[in-house]
This record gives sequence, structure tokens and C-alpha cells, in this order.
Amino acid sequence: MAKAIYKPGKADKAFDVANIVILIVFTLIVLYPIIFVVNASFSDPTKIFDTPLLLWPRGFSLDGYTEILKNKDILVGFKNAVIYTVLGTVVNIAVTTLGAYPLSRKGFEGKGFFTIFFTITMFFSGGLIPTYLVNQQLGIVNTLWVMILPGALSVYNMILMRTYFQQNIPSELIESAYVDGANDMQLLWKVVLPLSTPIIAVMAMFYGVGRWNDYFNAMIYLQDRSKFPLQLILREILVQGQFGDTSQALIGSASAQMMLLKLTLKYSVVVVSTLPVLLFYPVVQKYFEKGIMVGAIKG
Amino acid sequence: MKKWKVALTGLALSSVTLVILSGCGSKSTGATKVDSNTITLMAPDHSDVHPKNEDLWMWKQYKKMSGVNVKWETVKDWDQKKQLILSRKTLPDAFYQTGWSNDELVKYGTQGIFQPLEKLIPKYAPNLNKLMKEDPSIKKALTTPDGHIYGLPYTGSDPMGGGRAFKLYFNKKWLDKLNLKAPTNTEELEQVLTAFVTKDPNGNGKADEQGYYMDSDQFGPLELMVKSAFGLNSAGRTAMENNYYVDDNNKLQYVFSSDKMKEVWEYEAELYKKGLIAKTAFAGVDYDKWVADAGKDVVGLFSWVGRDFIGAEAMANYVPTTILNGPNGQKGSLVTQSPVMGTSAFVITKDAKDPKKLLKWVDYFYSEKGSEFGFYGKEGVTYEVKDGKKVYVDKILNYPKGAQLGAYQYVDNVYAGFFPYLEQPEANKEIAYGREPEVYTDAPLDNLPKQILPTFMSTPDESSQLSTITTDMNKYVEQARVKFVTGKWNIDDNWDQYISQLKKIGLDQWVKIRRQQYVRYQKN
Amino acid sequence: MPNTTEVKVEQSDKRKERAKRWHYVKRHKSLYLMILIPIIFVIIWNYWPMYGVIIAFKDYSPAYGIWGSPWVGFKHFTRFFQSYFFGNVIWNTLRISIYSLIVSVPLPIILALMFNEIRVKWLKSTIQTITYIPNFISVVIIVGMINFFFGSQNGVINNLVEMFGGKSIDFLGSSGIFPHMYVWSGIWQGVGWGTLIYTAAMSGIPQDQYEAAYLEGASRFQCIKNITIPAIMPTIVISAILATGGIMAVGFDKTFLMQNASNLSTSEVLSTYTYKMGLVNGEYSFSAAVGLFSNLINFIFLWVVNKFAQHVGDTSLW
Repeated sequence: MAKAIYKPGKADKAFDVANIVILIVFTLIVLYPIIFVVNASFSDPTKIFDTPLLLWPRGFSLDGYTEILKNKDILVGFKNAVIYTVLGTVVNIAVTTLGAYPLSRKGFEGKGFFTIFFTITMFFSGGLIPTYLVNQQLGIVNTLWVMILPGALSVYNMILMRTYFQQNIPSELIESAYVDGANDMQLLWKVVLPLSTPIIAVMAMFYGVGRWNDYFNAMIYLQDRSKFPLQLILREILVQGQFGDTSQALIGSASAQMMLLKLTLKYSVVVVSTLPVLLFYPVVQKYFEKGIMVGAIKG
Repeated sequence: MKKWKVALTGLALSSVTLVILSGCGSKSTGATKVDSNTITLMAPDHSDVHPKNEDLWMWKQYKKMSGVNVKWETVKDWDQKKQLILSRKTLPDAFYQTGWSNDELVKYGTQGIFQPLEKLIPKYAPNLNKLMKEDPSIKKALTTPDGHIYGLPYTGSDPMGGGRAFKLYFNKKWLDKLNLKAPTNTEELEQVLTAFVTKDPNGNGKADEQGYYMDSDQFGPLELMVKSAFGLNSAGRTAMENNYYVDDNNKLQYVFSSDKMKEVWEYEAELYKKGLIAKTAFAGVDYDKWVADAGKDVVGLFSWVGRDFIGAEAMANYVPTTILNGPNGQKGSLVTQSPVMGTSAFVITKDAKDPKKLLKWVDYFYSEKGSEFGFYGKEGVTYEVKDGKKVYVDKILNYPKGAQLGAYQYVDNVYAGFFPYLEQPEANKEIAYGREPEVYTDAPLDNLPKQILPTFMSTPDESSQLSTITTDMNKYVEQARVKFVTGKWNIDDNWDQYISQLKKIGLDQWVKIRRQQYVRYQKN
Repeated sequence: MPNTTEVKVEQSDKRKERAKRWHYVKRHKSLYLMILIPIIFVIIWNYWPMYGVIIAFKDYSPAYGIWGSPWVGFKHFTRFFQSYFFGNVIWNTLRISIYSLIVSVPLPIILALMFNEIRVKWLKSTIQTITYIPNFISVVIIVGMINFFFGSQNGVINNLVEMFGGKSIDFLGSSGIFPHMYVWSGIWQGVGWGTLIYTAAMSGIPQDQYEAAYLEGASRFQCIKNITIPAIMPTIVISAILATGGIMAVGFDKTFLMQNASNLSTSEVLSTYTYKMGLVNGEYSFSAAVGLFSNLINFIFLWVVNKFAQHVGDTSLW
């Protein structure tokens, strides 16, 4: 890229400095609680609250992490969550692209109708019981499919993707592809998708994170513990007793025992459950940059 | 690049076809055939802390003893899922240890989802029948307005057992150090707490001692005890939790509009102002932080049904007061529940072919022997007798997560309550876990409330009228309590306005319905 | 009396129009084949269960099923509208969501613009990555941390306040502070993640546009104003429109966990109130009625805002 051409002026330098300073301050504000969580995960749980600011682990302890390794539920949940997330995201992106691309085309007959057809579903749903009955009739309750197929399309994401296509795929390009004899299918493959890596990367992030964090569907539709994803196990550990569990009074000393377990696990599970997404991000970011390059070449 | 595109479409298309095909092909789940000697039960899922039901020692043992084969289906997050489960085509034969409210029992019973059992019990559940004869209040608590019984009880005869009675727990080290006795009335309570927070009883030189301190959702237990001191416990704890009590003229009254409640809040406001109730009483402390704090010896007083709530390490340091008396010699009474601690421990559904067999199967646990089996297991296997007392075997007592969860690896009736079962007396349970039973110096059993009412059974019409009013009144009272106790409102100035708002929400209607129910209850 | 020739012309126009459309559809069959797949998904999992909204007008009981339950008309709606706290709950919901709209729509845009101006690559990606993290922390932990930082006893902030001789502030138990706590903790958690969509949109802007502008002596602010913002405008408009469509939806989990008796007068929102009124007692019909009501309001808001966007600019949902 031709960087040398540009020489910043004084005002621009001031701008850069101010911009970076503000962002660094902001980042520190965001970072501090994260440091807190990480430090807490390496601390003796009973000592976390001792000092006002937790800038380093208190009473260093790896219990939180060894407890995770000992916990079969967490390990199995982790595996399940990976499967649901990967499969689910692939289906998501395929379905979303197939919806967004035709809608992005100028002069697509029935565009208004289709858009409204999709948008309505953002606001009106049958609710839990009918949806449950549908899934039951499909025979997918308590199977892998119930974690993949419902929710394959987020209309919100589809609209974002459509907007991206409209803005970033020049219509001249489409015209000229037609002149070259391409059909709509080839157009999507050969012209649109290669120009759309950034939005696909973002969609993968959006959907993937949604899938990764979802516990509600799993809670409603899965019965076997061996199929539970990580978030459901997390919720069990973290939320125990938080929602006014009626039998709490009768759990007896075991409930304080669980609180101790919660104390130890609370922060380390957060670290562990966040890690995969953070590791995934740099991979995705590469595609952003590619997107920029493609833009540069074409433009 | 190309490959993944192909893979994407392939996957999407195949998944769509799969759904369509499977939609047409497969039958709905849960309709598997079972032989006549098998019953299907649905129970809450606790497999996070113990083996699956079919692998549990006790259920394997009981299968041999009863000759009945149980097919268990366990459910996590019961509260969120129970309605969905009812909408299934085929239900399990019975619900075991699951929570249905009285309103739900009446509603689904009337609509035919649950089977009425009152006619079958005398014949096929002799042990339960015997208990109901010995204590008529059990039957009264279970019977709906139109005379049916849809659920079997979780019951126990010890007023101190099964999480029935709330107590105050005082820090014994602090009492000893300050040379004080556990308080017996509201005046002494104030004095002791003042000494706790001002005289540095934990000796660390910092004023970090708290008086009444629990996690922020738990102001209720203290208030129950104080209410009892001011005479609102005339119908027992369940009544107070449902916001009613019975006055001297045997008339049911709403708790939060009574003059006695004025005194309760005035007293609590006084404690709060003097810093004897933690400033975090209404916001900001989670249970896990509180358990951590308890380890640092800053908790002077808490209130719960058992001291083990504060954790296995700290609990030995707390001594109970069971009866808190009021000022000027006013007598308090034990804050305890009706012997029916749950009304839906075992509910038989419309799809059960042979309800008699189910009743017979469950009835064993209402006998002395069955109760012991459910809690202790079998001598030589899970418990042994030492000095005439039953104590769990060492592998249970030395279980790393505590004796209670240790026992739960073998027997079922030790965790989470609400079993169809006759609960063991509290002292026996403590001994079984290898602990010293709590010592009560204030004779709780001689100070029982005048009567102990259960949660009344409503007709469907009553419950639909009550539910909105109750939700709104509870919400309003919850906010008012904070204002009165923290001093934002003061009793003299704001009481009348408070009452008039309650009336707007529907206080009179509420009292009318509850009085009807009380009259009906007495007649039964 | 209508002029017959006019009618004929109109009809033939219509026919022509229809023929043209049909011709388009035929020529672009594959486009319709593509969109068929998401449509099938939507029909199965969105439209098929939709008949279930009728339980809002029935007394649903699993014993009778959705069709068999008795009709009760607007009973559940009246019960909701007449309940003592109706006004309070609606007001709380609107206050929190409008507040959060005002803050959470522009902030990610500003942040994304700032990210975009960082020249040092590694710094840019580091800062971006860090700001995304909070999005993945579970709500339970977030609320736990709020308690830890803002608690009135030993809370970090209050410790500092007291150190400088101030008086401890009851952040958690104050109904006045609750909306701020709710919204800003949400910003802390979501603002970084919210930039993602704009970052993607910006990455599609050809780099040479900037270079040309710099050569002509444009300042950074001018570049942002004249190149970046116009390029991401459609994305901004669309996400703003979609955000208004959630005006009645204030999340349940976080509100419920942050709720306590002393902030209840501002923290009780539709979702928590419905939970207490309906779901705890298994009254699905009631919660369906409340859900239908709030979705209608959402839809109206979205429709109005979309109309407005159509009117002002050329971007809109449909």
C-alpha cells in the first residue's frame, strides 16, 4: 500500500495523540474489571474481597482451575458447546447469505414483500409453548438438531448483511458480470462473496458468540446431561440460589458447600469460557484486513 | 475458497431436507412401551451432585424390595419446564418430588390432568392414612375446596425438623467474650447487638463487626422472628408467609396493615438506625460473599432454619434462640410450619394405568421403617449403630464435600426436601451426620403458636382473583418495608397513606377471600 | 361514469406490468431458489408456531391444549392494564430503554471512528480485542462485580469516596441511580462489541479515497466527515432503526439480578413484572398477552422510525 505519499500535518498529529490517549484511558477502564476477574480466578476465594483493588492475585491458588479439570460436566459441556457453535454458525451464515443476497439486488421483484415477511418474525412469535410443540412434532427435542436448526436465521443480521451488499458491491460489477454471461448463482459465488469477507467474518462472530452464549434453548429442549453445553453448566454453578430457589432452605449445609464451590469456580469458569472466543477473534480480524485489501485493489 | 462454499450450501440444503423428512417420519417422543410391572416417574434432576436415580444404591435396593421397576425421567430447571411437560401428549405416571403450587394442583386436578386420590388412600396407602388419622391437620392441608386430594405430602412430626422452624443464631465467641447470654426478648436483642458492634468482640481493633448480617435477600427471616415477638405468629410461619394471622377474636387479618406491624417496623427501624442491622440488608451482598465474610468472624447474628446455612466451618460457633419475646413481657412463639411442608410431593397423572400400584409403591416411605430406609439406608451398608444411635458409615462421614452429600451418594431423602416421605426428627439427622445436635435452652416445644395454619387451597376463581392482588400488594409492601426500616418514611407520618394505597390495590377484597377460606378450613 | 377506454388502457398496463414481473422472476429463478431456503426456515420455526399468539385471548391450560382452551377475549389485557403498577412498569421500561438508546446507539459509532483513525496496527487490534472481552462475561458475574465495586460497605468506589472525606453513596439501593447503573454497565459491556459492525463497514471503504483527500490537503476531521461517515451511514441508519424496534424489551436476567427491594420503584420493568405476575404461576396466557402488547408497541415504533428514515434519507428497512 502506498503509505509514503501521506505526510501528517501538525493538527493531525495532535489529533492522533488525543485519539490514542483517549482510547488508552478507555481501554484501561474496560480492562480493569477484566484484570480483576483474571486475578480473582487465581486467588484464594475467601480473600478476594479483602483488598479494595485487586491488582494481583490474593493468596495465589490454582484451585479454580484444578476444580474445572476435575469437573466432568464442564469438560463435556465445553465439547458440546464447540460442536453446537461450529455447526450452528455454518448453518447460520449459509441461510443468512441466501436470504440477504437476493434482497440486496436492485429490482428484485417482491423485495418489499419478502422483507416484511421476514421482519414480522422479529416482532411476533408464537411463544414458548407452540414452539416447543413444533419441535416436538419435528422429533428433534433432545437431539443435536434442536440446537442447530431453530434460530438458523436472525433477521437482524440478515438486514445488516443485505445493507452491506447493497453498499459494497458496485452495481456496475454485477452488470458487467452479466455481460460476461454469468448467472445469479455464479454471481454470488464469484463476485459477491469474495468481496464480502468482512461481513461474513462479522456474521461469524455475531452468530458464533450468540450460539456460544446461549443457554435458554439448551435449558428448554435438552434433557440428557451429556448433551448440555457449557453455558448451561455455568448457569447451574453461578446462578444457583440467585433466583430464589424454593428448595434452597431444604438443601441444608450442602447449599453453603455449593457456595464455596461457586466461590472457587466463579471466576475461573468465566476465564475459560471466554478464552475460545478471544482466540477466535484474531483469525477473524485477518479477514477484515483482507477485505480492506480487496477494496483497495478493486477501487 | 471454493470448497467451503460448496460445503456450506450442501449443509444448509441437507439440513432443511432432514428436518422436513424427520418431521414426516418420526413419532413424538416419550411413548415407549413399558411392561405392567414398570412405572414411569418424573423427578427433579440432581445429577450434578449425586448418581443418576437408576444407579442410586437406594433405588436399586428398593426395586428388589418392592418388585416394581421404575423408569425415571429427571428434569433440570423444573420451574421453567413444568408447563411444557404438561403439554406433552403422554405424561409420566407420576411426578416425584416436584413442586406444584396449591393453585396448580387445584387447576390441573379439576381439569383432569392429575388424578384424585382421596378414595384410594385409605385402602392402598395405609401408612399415610395412619398419619392422616393421627394428625387431622395433614388431611386438611391436602384437601381442595371440593374435597379432593391431588398430591401427597412431604411431612414430619418434629416442629424443629425438615426446615420448619426459623431461629436466631448468635455468635457464641462474641457472647462469651462480652460475657453475655443469648437474648430472649427484643430489649435484650438490642443490647446484645449494641455490644457486638461497639465493643470489638472479634478483637482485631477494627469496627468491622456486624449485628444482623446476611445476604441481601434475607431480611425476611429476622422479620419473621420479630413479628412473632410482637404477636403476629398466632397462626404459625406459613400463615405469616402468606401474609395472614388470626387475631384474638379468631378473625383472620392481613399482617402488613395491622397495628402490630407498625411496632415491628418501628423496632426494626430503631435497630437499623443504630447500625445493628447491616447497611447492606436490602442491597449489595450475595450469598457467596456472605459465606466468605462469615469465615472472617464479622457476623454477629443471622436467622435461618438451620445453622449450617453459614457453612460447615463457621456453624459450630453459632447458638440458637428459638423464641424471641416482645417488650413488656409479651410472649413470643416458635416460628414453625404446619406438619405438611409440601403438598405436591407425589402427584399421579391421567396417564397412569394403575394408580393403586403407584400408591403402594410410595406408601412405604410414610412408615417408620420406610422413612428410616429413605434417610439412613441399611445397617452395615450405609449406617451403623453406635451407643444406640444411628450414624452414617465412615465413607459417608468422610466424603470430601461433607456428610450430607456423602449420604446423597447412596440414599435419596437427604437433599432438597419435598419427598413423599415422613421426615426424620432434626436431632436424629444431626447425629447421623456425626454432629452434636443443637441445644435449645428456651423450650421451643412448649411455646408453639396457638394454631398452625397451612397455605389454604383456593378455588380456581379465588386464585385468579388473588394472584394479581397478592403480587401487587407484596411488591408494594416490599418497597414500603425498605422505606420504613431505613427511615425514609416514618411510621407516624406515612402510615395512613401507606394503608390507603394498600386499599387501592385491593386489600379489602383480599381479606374477604382469605376469610372465606379460613372459615372453610375450620369447617372441614 | 368511467371512461371505458381509460379502464382498458389501465388494464393492459397492469397486464404488461405483470408480464414484466413474471419475466423477471423467470430470468432470475435462482434468486428465488436461494431465498426459498431462509423462507422455509422462517415458516417452520417462526410462522408455524405463530398460531400460538391466540392463547393471549384464551385461558390456556395444557389439559385442553392451545385450540381447546376456552376463549376469554381481552381478559388478560384488562387485568394487565388495570393492575396497580401498570403505569409505573411501563414508565420504568421506557425510561431505561430510551436512555439506553440515546447512549448505546452513538457511542459504538464514535468508538469505531476512533479505532479507525489509529495508524499503529498492533495497537489498534489490541485495543479492539480488549474492548470486546466484556461482551463475553456472564451477566451473573457482571452483577457480582457491580456489587463489588459499588457496594455501600467495603465497595471499591465508596472506599475511595470515604478516603477523600466524602459520604458513602448507596449506589445499589437507590432507585434514582438504578437507571444509570443499568445503562452504563451495559455500555461498559457492549460498546466495544457494538463497533464490530461499523468496523466491517469501514473496512469496505477503498483506501485510495483517503489518500486522494489527503493529497488535496484535507484534515482528519474532514476525512471522517466526508468519507467515513457517509460510507457507513446506511449501516448506522439500519442499526438505529432496528434498535428502536426493541423499545419495550429491557432484558430480564440482568434486571432481575440487579433488582432489590430498595430500587424496585425504578427497576421493575415489563419483563420482570410479567415474570412475577405470570410465569411464576404458570399463567402463559397472561404473559402471552403482555408479550403481544409490547411487541405491538415495538412494531409501531419501528414502523414510524422507518417511515421517518425513508422520508429523510434513502435508507430504510423495506
